Amino acid sequence: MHDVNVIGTLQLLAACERTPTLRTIVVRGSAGVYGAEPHAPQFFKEEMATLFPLRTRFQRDVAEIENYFDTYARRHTGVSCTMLRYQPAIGAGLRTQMTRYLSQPVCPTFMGFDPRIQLVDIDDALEALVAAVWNPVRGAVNVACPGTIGLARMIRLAGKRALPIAAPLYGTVTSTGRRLGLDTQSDDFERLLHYGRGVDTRRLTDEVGYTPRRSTVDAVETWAEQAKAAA
Amino acid sequence: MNGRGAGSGPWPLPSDAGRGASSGRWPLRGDALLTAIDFMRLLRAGLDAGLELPEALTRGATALPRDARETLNRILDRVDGDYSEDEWGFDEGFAELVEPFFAFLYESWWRVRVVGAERVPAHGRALLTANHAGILPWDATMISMALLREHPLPRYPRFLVLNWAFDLPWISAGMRKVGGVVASPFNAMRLLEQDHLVAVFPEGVKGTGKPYSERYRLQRFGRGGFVEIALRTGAPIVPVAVVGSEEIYPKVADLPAVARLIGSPYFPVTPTFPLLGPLGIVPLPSKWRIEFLDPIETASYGPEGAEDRALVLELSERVRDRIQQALYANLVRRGPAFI
Repeated sequence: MHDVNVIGTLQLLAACERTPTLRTIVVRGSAGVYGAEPHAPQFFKEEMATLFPLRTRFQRDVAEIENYFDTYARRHTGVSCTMLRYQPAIGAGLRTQMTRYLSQPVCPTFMGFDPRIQLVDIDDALEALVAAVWNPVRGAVNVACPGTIGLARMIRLAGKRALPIAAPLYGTVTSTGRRLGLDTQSDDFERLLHYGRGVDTRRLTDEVGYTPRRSTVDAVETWAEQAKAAA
Repeated sequence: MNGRGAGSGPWPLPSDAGRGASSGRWPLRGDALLTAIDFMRLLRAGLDAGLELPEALTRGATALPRDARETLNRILDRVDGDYSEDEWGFDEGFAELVEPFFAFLYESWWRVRVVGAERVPAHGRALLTANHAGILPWDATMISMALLREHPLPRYPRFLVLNWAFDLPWISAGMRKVGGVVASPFNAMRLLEQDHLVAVFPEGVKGTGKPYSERYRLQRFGRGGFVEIALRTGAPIVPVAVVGSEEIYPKVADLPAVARLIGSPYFPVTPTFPLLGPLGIVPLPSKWRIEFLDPIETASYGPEGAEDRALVLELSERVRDRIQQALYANLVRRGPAFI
């Protein structure tokens, strides 16, 4: 993962340096750079990426990539660089950590926590990317479907059962599950399930000019229906 | 105290009150018992007939009075995820479900008297600014109840909660469901931009950690951040004086070592906590008065007023002053704390 993301970015930027006709770079980044924090504001704005320390490997990778692009953009003022910070995507046929999690027979949750989760529907994710290519704005832009959904409600809409695990035992239980060959969760995803994360999407609608068609709740409902129909 | 007091329970009388001994002061007791037995009988029959628990509960509910049946159906709908929350996690259905509990606290436990609820703007944004005490935001919930009960156009206010609460299981989830958000200026700004009523407690941790001997003496109002928020969003500031909240957990000592160990801002010692263990979090039944004061308008300064330190500090001091004076006046009017 690290190789593809970070080393791949370095090579891509090296190639960009040698392309004199380049005008625009649009990067599919991740809102994971904000982390998932109990004391965070409910909706991160683009300028709030450094509000909290980088805690997980993935988060550090994303921050590093953003840093490379920032440096590149500063040196090449003629090229407009857009960093799209995507929330986790959901959609029919999509295999992501989130859809795998919701497809398990029981979904482990942190006992007593109901984090606010924000997702992006796969159709909106693609169209936002197209919109950003047509109308590149400089700097970071959050990409997500508006609104948030509580994890408990999301699991219920998906027709699954939650398995609440007390927070101090969560790591032990999931690592045992990993050894038994069950699905694994990254540190990053685990923090998301604990504390949740929302982003402010005003820059996407006002400056890029793309309004997502689904809300987060709609996206989950649509996915749940399609997943049930496919099963 | 009015109709829905402690004795009559959250539900009104069943309409077919024919059976059971309904004697004198407690007309519901006999009926309620029989209803409960009927409910359990039908539930049992349903389960014996091989129904799943939710269906069996629905069948049993036919024995309940209509209001209770509706409540049960709502709980069952929630199990299927059939409820809605807004982007902050506020869940009006949940807030209505837990209302009887807060109504009991409001009417019987703390006997809240409210003055000036009509001074709170009926629509649009406004920033309620109140004094704060006790680590659990009981005062915020009572301000909510006061507005729901006494305001001509009731609405749920949102309130900023001490960050520490969001590290805790159940409390974090419950807070969000009844309208609490992490105490961050970004959250307050966004809520105000959405024309919500937002309650803040500028004393913050300093207010909650006051010893009993310093009750009703307002602490410093931070750096006046709440004024900046009001100026930026043009929201009027409504000072609120809450009398009674500072007697519910009389803090006589602090154990900083324990506080550091569990990561809380302080570890209070009250007459009941930690002596009685978990029972110690039951707040004492003091008598409350909540006074809403005249709003202070901020829109005329414009958003650039937020950059003006002198203006911010002056407004902050004015709000603090008005709350402090109202606190003293209401303390006198309330009389003894517990009777």
